[in-house]
Amino acid sequence: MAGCIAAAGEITGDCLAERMRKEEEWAFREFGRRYGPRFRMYFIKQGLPFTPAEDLAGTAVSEAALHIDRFRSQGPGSFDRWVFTLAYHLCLGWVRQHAKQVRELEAAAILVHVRSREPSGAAEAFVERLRAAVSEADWEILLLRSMSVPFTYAEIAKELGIAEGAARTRHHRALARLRALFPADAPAGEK
Amino acid sequence: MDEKTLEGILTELLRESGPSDVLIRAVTAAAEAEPPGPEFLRRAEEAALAAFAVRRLAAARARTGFQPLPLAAYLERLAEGAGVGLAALWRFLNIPVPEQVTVLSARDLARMGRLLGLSAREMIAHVRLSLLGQDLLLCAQPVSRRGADGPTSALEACEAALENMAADADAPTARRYAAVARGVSGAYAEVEEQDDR
Repeated sequence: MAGCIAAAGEITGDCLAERMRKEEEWAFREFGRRYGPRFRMYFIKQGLPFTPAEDLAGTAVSEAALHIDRFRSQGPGSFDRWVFTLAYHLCLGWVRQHAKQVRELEAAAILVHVRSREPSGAAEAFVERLRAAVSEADWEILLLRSMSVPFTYAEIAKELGIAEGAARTRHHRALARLRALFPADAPAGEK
Repeated sequence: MDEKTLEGILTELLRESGPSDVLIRAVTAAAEAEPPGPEFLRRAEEAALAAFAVRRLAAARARTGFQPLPLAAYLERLAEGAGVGLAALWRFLNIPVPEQVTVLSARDLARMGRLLGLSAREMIAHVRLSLLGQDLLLCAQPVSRRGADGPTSALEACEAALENMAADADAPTARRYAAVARGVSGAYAEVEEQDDR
């Protein structure tokens, strides 16, 4: 277990995955107890109602545990990125399945917008352009505030190690930078 | 452009941009600040243990290979070899414990088969053996269908024996066998397509 204990005193994700691959039952228990609550919170923040959030968290735990062999470590944090990417795809699937009509309207709105401004570009390129307009840290603030149940400025401040007021100001400034990319009077096709 | 619309679009794009390290840390901190109740923790643990049991069943299945047994008997044998109960399998599939596996829908059979590593042909053979109420004795008969490719596998031998029985069966029974094959094959194709997406 040398090198397997993280600063918080818990076994690292890489080591937990290794123990699960070796079919050690305790590791599966630990995985469920550790990541179940995190998935649940992620789905709640994504705007899922309470009960589906808990059900989907159970599914995320099962799916990740079942397919643990697919995880390939790429250094610290990679296990969390892997399991949360799986949870993210489950979340998208749930939303698309249960709120199809609403999502179709939203998707149509995005497509209309992207096509009018970026005739030959894909949505990914559009997102990259947005991303390039702000700093990495400000993008993270935008991301946390964009959840259906947004992270509070206090939570963001704690996470990024900045003052609450700074988190608020930077969020507003970042939004303003993105808005500036789309002048209200610009005709379609012009930037 | 309407600012509200733009904001809505931005929010949507950001939500769909996937989890970042900062988001993961923030979610982890929020989950620790507002921990769920013991009932949820128990369910989360059970979900992980169900996956553990399915992995062991699949490993037992890989060791065992095809055996000409009715589905229920085959699953029991796998569970014995894996040292786990079948309840975890039903929990993983999110279906009530069936009184008989033959009452499972073709879709559930396909999902189960895919999880454990059974091909559609194997599943069809197991289900047909279940319907016949027959066991390995049926498939243990010498099989005459040996060609240039050499001896037939256990599955091929069993399929040949089942085909012979179907040929001798009355019309409704023959139709039922055919329906099993169609239903399970179709469900496998559907589930495979869904998994690939």
